[in-house]
Amino acid sequence: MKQFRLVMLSVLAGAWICAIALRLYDLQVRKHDHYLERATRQQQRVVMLYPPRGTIFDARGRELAVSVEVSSVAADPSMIEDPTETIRALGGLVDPDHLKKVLASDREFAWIERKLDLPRANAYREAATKGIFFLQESKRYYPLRSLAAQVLGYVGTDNGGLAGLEFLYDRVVTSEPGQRTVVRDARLGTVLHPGLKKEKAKPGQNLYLTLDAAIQHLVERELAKAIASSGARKGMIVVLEPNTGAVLAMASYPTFDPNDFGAAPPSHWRNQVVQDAYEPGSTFKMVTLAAALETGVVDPLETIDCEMGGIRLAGVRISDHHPFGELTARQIMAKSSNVGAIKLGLAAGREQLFGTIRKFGFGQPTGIDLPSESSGILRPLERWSPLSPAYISFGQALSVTALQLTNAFGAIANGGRLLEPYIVESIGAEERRRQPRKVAGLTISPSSVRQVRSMLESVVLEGTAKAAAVPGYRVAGKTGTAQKAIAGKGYAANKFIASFVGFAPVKNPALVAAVVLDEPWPRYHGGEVAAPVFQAIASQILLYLGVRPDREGDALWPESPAPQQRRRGTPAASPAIRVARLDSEGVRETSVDGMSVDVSTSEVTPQGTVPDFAGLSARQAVALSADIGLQVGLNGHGFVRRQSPAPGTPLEVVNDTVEVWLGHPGVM
Amino acid sequence: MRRFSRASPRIGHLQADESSPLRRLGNVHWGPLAAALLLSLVGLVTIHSASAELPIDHFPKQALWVAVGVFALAVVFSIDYHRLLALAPIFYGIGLSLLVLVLIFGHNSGGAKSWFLVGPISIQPSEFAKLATALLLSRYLAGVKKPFLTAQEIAIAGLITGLPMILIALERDLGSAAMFCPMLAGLLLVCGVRWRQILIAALMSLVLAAGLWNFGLRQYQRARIMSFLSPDEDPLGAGYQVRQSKIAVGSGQWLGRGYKQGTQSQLRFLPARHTDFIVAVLAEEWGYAGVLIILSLYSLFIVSAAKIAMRGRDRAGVLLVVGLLGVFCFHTLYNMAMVVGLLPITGIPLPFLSYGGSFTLANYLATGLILNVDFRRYVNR
Repeated sequence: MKQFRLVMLSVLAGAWICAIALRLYDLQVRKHDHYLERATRQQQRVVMLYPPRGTIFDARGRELAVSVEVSSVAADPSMIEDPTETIRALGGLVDPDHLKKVLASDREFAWIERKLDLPRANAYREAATKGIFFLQESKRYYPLRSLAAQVLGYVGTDNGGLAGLEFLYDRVVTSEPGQRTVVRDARLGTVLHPGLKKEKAKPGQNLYLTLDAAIQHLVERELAKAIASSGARKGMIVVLEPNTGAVLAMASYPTFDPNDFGAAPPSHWRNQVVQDAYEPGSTFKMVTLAAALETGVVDPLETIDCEMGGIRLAGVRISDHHPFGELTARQIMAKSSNVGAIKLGLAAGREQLFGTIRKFGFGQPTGIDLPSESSGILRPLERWSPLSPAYISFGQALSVTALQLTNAFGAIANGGRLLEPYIVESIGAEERRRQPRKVAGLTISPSSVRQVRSMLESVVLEGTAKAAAVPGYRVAGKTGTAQKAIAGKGYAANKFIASFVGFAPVKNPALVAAVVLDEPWPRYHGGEVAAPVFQAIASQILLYLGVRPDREGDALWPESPAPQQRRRGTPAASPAIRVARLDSEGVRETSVDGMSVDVSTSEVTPQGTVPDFAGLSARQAVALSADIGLQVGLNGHGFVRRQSPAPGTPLEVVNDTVEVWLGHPGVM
Repeated sequence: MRRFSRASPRIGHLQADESSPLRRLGNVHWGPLAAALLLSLVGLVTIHSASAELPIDHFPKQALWVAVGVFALAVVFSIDYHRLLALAPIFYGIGLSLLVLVLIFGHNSGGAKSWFLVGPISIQPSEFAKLATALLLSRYLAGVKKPFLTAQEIAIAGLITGLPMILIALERDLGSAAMFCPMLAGLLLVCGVRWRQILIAALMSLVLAAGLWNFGLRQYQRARIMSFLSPDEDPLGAGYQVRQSKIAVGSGQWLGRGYKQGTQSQLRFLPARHTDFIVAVLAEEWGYAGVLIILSLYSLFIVSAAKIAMRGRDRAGVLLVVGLLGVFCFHTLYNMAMVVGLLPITGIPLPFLSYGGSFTLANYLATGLILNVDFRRYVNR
């Protein structure tokens, strides 16, 4: 027996035990962090939770942009033992080469295909093998397809807003993805472990627009019709609420389907109304007229020599589209004489003209809550040439956006206040909060406003825009037929921008709209191609909004007034009488008592007293006051809590503005 | 008896009644039994934790096996081991027959056909064949009373070991088959082989290993060995087990993650966690401290059993202890080395800790035999 060998074997065993102890020390203590990290990595997985983006609603709660839950399929390449088998299983659904590349990655997560439609998702589910799994994602869906496409914009695959409201309000609408750490076991079962880190997802907030899908729809339909019949290249229409600046509709043609925006060329994605500036042409004469009247150098009853078709200024002859002789300011607008407009502009003077243009908001963004707004081009006064006032007077040598122009006409419609147009009425999931109307500034005095308004009405009644007349309603506006400038070559002979900007009803305007058609041919006059479109949309919108007609039938509309001495505040005055007074006496009377002319002639408050506004929303208050011919001054937001003058005050003693203070129930 | 008389001054008064059974019980080295019981206790607790995510809790069954094992230990202890040695050929014969029968009627489980199903319990005859072989081998080698063994004697010893080994290998239970090698090697070394013979044996085993690699091993067995050499090459194949085991062990640190808090085992990442990889569960949940306690208990078992071998005077008894200890050591050390990634994965469980009826019973029987030898060290010659 070899005792020594026995000892040796024992020593060997002891050494072995020591080796294991050392190895254990190495694994458990020295490399602990490494192995713990590996354990955590394979046992825990961070799951991203994507709640849906906020919904975009129109003014009446119709869904314009919603988020729907869709499945996406992904792979965990580290779990797949045999990629060829997986490729065979999914081969019918996805390009095998693409799948091969996906599975070759050494990550634990790789997308195979995202945002599957339902049948495709089901097909994947049936074919799925080990290591293939599904995630719920949210996908943006525009149920009304191309409706208001350029306004809404679109989102990319990662749900980021790329254009329009989706882009501008991305942070509001976007949800914040939540994170959840889950424990998974070796068989890939997920065990929710209450003790683990959880970051709550924040759902996106909803947007409530002022835009009305019904109006938008009819506007887009009429625009498409007009494009087809006029042969125009493109076109746009914008409809605002003159008393608030709210956008009721905004359409650009050609358009696209934001559900599949990639299918349309990028030019179709442009919101022309806010992004594209153009030379306005004759529609801009409204501003020239306003400047001249505000200066007080023009007597509306006096005539101006329109030089029979042309005028020579600083050695340059500027010709009219038609030879005119002596015309009043009203006739200059109605017939759209360039020479007349030039004379009005020159009479106002450079500073006054420039100042008025600025006051109407040109040369600066309107501040609307839509992205990439253009300011248009208005040269600073220092850089005006001697001829600049002349050209600008009839709408050349500057460029404007359709929104700027519409907003400027809106200021005439609402009594002189330039508003900041807006499209998002409120933000938030629970509480609908109306944005307060923002007055960007005052334009011209109320008396000048009334004269401009009246003359613009003549354009429709007897001038170039007869086609814009809406039966039963009083409409005011201005046509424009602008030759298009070709870079470096002056103006093209047969390329025009035909437009009409107008509002209705004249007394309590419910809408102000611009119709702009680019390169209609062979008919190209604004009065021929754009004015009828205005007539089409305005008649439908006024009906849709339930706006009370000014009169029954066209026959009642008198051309000349029957002068009548009337006391302020007399109820039940007919519109015919009121128009007559404005036409014949407006100027003189306003010089005495300019602020109260409109108030006196309400048909809808037979009692002749101020109604009770309490509890109304801001919009309802505006609508009610418009019904009785009052302006309403909104203070704060929410619902009406207080008003001045008090309900029941006779209209005779009221200025033409009722101030209301709004607030939310329970908030003082 | 020279050694005994030298020790007499210390226990002089005991000389008179040295044959009194009670006195003699006091002189038995109880280290192996203490270690075995403590290890079983730890094993039961760990099996309970490792069973948490299994369809059934193996704790009660294992507790029953431990009880049966302790009872069997007592029975084996009470019978003079010489009588058992005398019966060794019969045990050996029964063992071989069972191995042949299990090849025919055995239950196929996990790729190995090494189980008899008897009602609710399954019996692994290879565990008992190991004991029978140890008995026969020590009986044979005890009869060779020369300082060195001849080639013929070595061959006979090899034959005694080889027969059950080949039968077990045919069951595809390579791990159990391999356990016969340390038994034989230990016994031969202690009995006396020349270094020359050792060298020849080493060369032969190399040739044998090469042959085995090419013709004897199946694909999955080769894969296991390859994966041991580079475990990160196929994360889900055989290397998976090593990786998961190392992650579990490494997660433990000094004091572990707490009882039933080991995520590697509770989340089912760890394979065979109540059997072969139970020490990884222990390392994860009890930390380095826990494993060191286990290592000390195994050291206690080995050292006290080695002491018993040292102080034994009876050649057959000493050889029996050496043979059994060889198997025990190898089981323990191989299993632990495998769990920490020092040796390739084979199905070798950890004595007293791993779940397994036949295995636990066999370990208690072996412990009983070792104590038996120590108890009766004065009685003979």
